[in-house]
Amino acid sequence: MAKPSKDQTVNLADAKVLLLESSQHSLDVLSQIIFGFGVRELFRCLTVEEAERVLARSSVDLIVLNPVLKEGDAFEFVHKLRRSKVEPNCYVPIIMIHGHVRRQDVARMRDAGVNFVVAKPVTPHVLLQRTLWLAHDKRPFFESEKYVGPDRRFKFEGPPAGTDGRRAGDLTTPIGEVVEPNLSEGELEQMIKPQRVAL
Amino acid sequence: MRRFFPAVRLKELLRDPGGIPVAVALDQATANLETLREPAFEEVTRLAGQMFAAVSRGDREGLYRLSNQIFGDAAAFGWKEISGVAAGLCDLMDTDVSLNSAPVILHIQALQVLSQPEADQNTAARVELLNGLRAIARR
Repeated sequence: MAKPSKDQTVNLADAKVLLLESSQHSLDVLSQIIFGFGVRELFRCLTVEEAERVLARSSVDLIVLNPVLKEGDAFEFVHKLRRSKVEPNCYVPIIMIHGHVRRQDVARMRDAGVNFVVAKPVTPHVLLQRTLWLAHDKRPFFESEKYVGPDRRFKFEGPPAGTDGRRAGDLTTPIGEVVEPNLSEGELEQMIKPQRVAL
Repeated sequence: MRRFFPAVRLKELLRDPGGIPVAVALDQATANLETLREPAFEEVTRLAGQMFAAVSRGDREGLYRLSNQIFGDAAAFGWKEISGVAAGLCDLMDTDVSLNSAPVILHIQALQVLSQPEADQNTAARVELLNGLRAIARR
């Protein structure tokens, strides 16, 4: 997915966005970025309970959340929301933004059911880029016993050589010509790797 | 297993014509963020000041949250030394190192020095602490 061009416009004036962060200050930082994008209706939450109350009375168009919260389990929140079958909120795009990632949380992050994982620092450019990518996100949604959310694969090169694959959508080899570019390593890395600074 | 394409309103909104140019959106967001630079530094100072209390309580999770918070806040504003030390402390909290160990204490001391308003002037203390952290990182 390409970087947004300067000629492109973004129309978020009617979008309703829910933020779930670990502190008032972090909420302020995210809010200022999102307001800059033209969003006018923002729900700011510090706990899972607050976020669930918002979702019980309103539909939202985007959720941006931090997995490390002062109260409540953000992964459990997403897990419950995806399985709630309360439309349209159960399908709402979710961007998870994280600072440091603990080993115990890597698999949880991958399997959470969010659309994108973004490593801090969250710059306006990165957050807007991910938001715009959502418009062109062609991944299907999966509902299974173990996972509910967008397809966790960003590129699909078919089953391993010599096999026919197990999924109904798996293509038989050979898979044919590439029709669009894959995500670069840098783009993939930016999605999942926390930023490190050498001392 | 079910595979499908749910209707997502955000996709429709983002494809609607109109709105503001991306460049304007980025400029606005950046300008808005800049208004929080000073409060962000005060927040980092406040959080760093709570760290030894977390150590005294034996609150590993609390110390992790504080360092993670500092990492995010500092990284957002390009304070690389602070975010680097905070990330290092987060890494330590992801091991079984004792809260009272030298590496943990040194990281906390470094954060408290770096998050003082006069940190830019206190070069000797900063250099000494960061050299100490590098030595620990090499071990």
